[in-house]
Amino acid sequence: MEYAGVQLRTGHLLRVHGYLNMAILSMWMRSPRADVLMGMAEASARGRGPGGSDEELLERVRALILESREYFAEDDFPPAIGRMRVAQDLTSLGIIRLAGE
Amino acid sequence: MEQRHGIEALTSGAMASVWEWTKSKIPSDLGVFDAHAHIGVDIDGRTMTGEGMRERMQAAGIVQSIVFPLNDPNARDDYSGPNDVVWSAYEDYPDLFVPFFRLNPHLDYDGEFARCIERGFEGLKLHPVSQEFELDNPKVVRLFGMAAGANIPVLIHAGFAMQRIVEPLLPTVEKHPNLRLILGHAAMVETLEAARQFEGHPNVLFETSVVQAKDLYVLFSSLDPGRISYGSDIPYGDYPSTLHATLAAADAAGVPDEHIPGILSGNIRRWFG
Repeated sequence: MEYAGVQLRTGHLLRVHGYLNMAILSMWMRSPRADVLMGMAEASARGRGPGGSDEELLERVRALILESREYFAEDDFPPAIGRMRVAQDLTSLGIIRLAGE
Repeated sequence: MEQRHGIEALTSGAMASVWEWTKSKIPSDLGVFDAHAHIGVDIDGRTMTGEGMRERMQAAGIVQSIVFPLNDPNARDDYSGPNDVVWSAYEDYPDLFVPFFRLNPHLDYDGEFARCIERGFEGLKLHPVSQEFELDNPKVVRLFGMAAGANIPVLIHAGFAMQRIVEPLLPTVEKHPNLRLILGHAAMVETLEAARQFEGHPNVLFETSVVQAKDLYVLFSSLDPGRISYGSDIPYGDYPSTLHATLAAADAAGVPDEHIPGILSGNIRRWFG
């Protein structure tokens, strides 16, 4: 992987991580806009990632966010926030691993 | 409201592979020790009972938990009511729970401190955000000294909304080297500085509950893993996601597998016989 590719992959994962962070904070704060921010996080991970090397990670993150929104819509907070936290953790550790490539 | 925490909802669908990986990292013969959980009622509406804790622990394979009150709206000035709720849960399940009591340092705490020590509570929980105090408040410093004198550990909330941890706490740690301190939520906003400043103080443990994996990565990369202990923060956290965060961060930081039993149990369990 050339250096520019790693930068782009890192940038994309940073985007997703940032939107996940906003969504998680809104969930904890019980913001009336929490579902909107969860939707933004879902949108940030939508579509194929740059370069494809992180596609397995992104697939897992998309599935976690999708299920989280379903639980959240049913007012079932623990499985909703747990999935978002794991999605964020997988993303942040993915970024850290990229820094070592 | 005590919401659904069933292990199925927490480990099914997209969480299934996460939970499988997490379980694969836990030695099969290891009983996990949870260093941070709550029983009672909080002003934010969350609740947890002793029975609810027992169900969650058994479902996830947790053998023992430190438990203490939430920020209870019904707390009398001395916190005796919520402390009694924790003690009652401990009497129901003495093998599962390690009971800590909670105090408000702003108020007259001597009587409740003595009552809880006499009763057999095994530690003290302090929450600087909920009870609105700084860690170098003279009343708090006095309380640390009392805990050192009584030879009980103190778990400090050192997580969300904290703005000063290391600088106000360091003089107490230096004055009372035998005082056992648990930094709840791993002093997350200052985790690197805390790791540096408390590295030479072996009675300070860092507890991992609901800390993001990237913070834990920095902690595992900066500190002897023998100083780090797993916690869940139930009912704010849950076992699958908090165990995953701790183990995934340790894995990413290159912590050898031989340290996992200590992180998940032994590092803190040794404090309680």
